[in-house]
Amino acid sequence: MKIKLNGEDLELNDGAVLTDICAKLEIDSKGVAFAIDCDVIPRDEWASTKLADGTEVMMIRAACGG
Amino acid sequence: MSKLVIAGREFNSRLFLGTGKFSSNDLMKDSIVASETEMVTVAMKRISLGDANDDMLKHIVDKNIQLLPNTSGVRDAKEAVFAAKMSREAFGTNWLKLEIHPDPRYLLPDSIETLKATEELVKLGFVVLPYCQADPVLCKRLEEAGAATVMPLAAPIGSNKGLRTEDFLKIIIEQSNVPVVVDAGIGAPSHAAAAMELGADACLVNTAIAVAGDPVRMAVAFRDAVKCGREAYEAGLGAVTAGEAVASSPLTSFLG
Repeated sequence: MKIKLNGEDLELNDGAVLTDICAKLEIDSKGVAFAIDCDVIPRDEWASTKLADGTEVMMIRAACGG
Repeated sequence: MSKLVIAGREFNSRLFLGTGKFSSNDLMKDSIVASETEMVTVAMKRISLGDANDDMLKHIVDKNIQLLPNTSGVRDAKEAVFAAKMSREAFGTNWLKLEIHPDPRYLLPDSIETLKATEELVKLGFVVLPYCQADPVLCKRLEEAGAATVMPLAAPIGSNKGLRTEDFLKIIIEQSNVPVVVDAGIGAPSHAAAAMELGADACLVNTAIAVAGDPVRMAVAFRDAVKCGREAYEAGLGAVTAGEAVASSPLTSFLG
């Protein structure tokens, strides 16, 4: 299936959950956060938050800044 | 030098460091270490599929450092609350540098939205350190709303102009019951020392260190300037006279 990650297509296995995005992108989950439909998803719910085809996910990560 | 206490946490250093604009993560890392700071700001950005390997957090190695995520990029209180919730999940801290500056030219903080967001974020359990105008009335309102500090600007962000708001910073420092952190516009160690001599509790510096010819040595210079300024403030500076000299040596008992 395909989700929209920050507006870009990302192919994931059917039944994927939020933590699978980190695994797919090979990104450490430290410094990362997710929102779906403007709802911030608590970290302890990532592994149980199932994604569907077309789900729009916002994902941010740490950046340098003052 | 006395310790700084914010929201019950003690800090040995009164210099906070921003992590923007360094030419490399290694220089940022070495500057953080050299500065001896215990509070470092971080920002957030939307991930794009092409930049997956860009992990800046691994360069902030000292576990004792308090991360201070900022809300840079938000335009109003509503967006700030969303950014705060994202940062809490991302960084595992409820500490927050609240900054709402919708105008990209001068990056001046929106006082009304900043106060509104502070009220809401405090209710949600955040430790809010708002970047704000050097407005003594606003700073009291932020304090009453539950801000952990106030962070008035010395001059526009990244301008290196120094303490252009000095007269107002003095009033803010005199009136504040929460720590006053001078943020933005500090361009030289002498500016930081001057802010600390006024009685500021801390300084937040980014551009002046990050874009210096040698950022690591500039971090050392700011480390020492902040210490010197604070030490002088705590020692008690002498009174400034109206202009006449006051002899430091006896003038009458030498040649009779």
